[in-house]
Amino acid sequence: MTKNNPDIHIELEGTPEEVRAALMKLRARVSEQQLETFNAGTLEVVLAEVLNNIVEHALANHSDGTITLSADYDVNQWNIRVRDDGAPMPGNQIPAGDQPDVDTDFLDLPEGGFGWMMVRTLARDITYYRTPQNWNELTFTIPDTPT
Amino acid sequence: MNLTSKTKGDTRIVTVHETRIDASVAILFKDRMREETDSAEGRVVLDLSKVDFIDSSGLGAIVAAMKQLGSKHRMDLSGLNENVDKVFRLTRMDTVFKIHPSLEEALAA
Repeated sequence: MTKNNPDIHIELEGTPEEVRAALMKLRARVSEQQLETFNAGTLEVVLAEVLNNIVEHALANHSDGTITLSADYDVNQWNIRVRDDGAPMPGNQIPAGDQPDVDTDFLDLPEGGFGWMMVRTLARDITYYRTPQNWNELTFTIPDTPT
Repeated sequence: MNLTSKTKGDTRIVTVHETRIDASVAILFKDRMREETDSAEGRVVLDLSKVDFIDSSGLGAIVAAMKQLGSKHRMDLSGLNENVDKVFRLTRMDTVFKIHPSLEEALAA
């Protein structure tokens, strides 16, 4: 669970430029607060995919949506909560995130479909909840141990 | 999107002077790659040593840049930072591209 007063809290609008700015802010906060994380890179990769998916799908066709991101650093994991006021996940479920086939002919190589696969590979305890106030709420953890 | 290129022998070297290739610049990156590689005569080496972050859209744009070269030109990568390398390994795209530790090693290969 994320605390009432999370270590890092960032609010952004649903555009790719805002996602970039939020991720750079996250990096800065991690170093400012001297959170001795081993795995800030993994956290950034996962959050990029989660936020991009919200911008492209939940908030598709309207850039005035709101996304909030809360990150708590624990001894050996990050606890993350991401909320947005966009459309619900199809079927109220997190996408399967199957590995796209890369053993194909050159011209058939996939140019997308990697987002949820990376999230599912790197994050743990992923839950999705549609709140009664019509927000999407995604929570997950990122293990943070020396590699 | 700041990309520059130079030719060494029959290799076109494209250097990305940006720290991030992400969803906000993916289409622009692909277009700039086309401009920088249009007249390439042989192999293309994309030097990513200044890039410290890519997301799946950035990865898709790199794949698209290779595909638009056509099958007669190979595209190698060099200088992947830890986070960038991680994305290539996770998606198994490290099996598609020849990845060199540095530009020097890419040119010697």
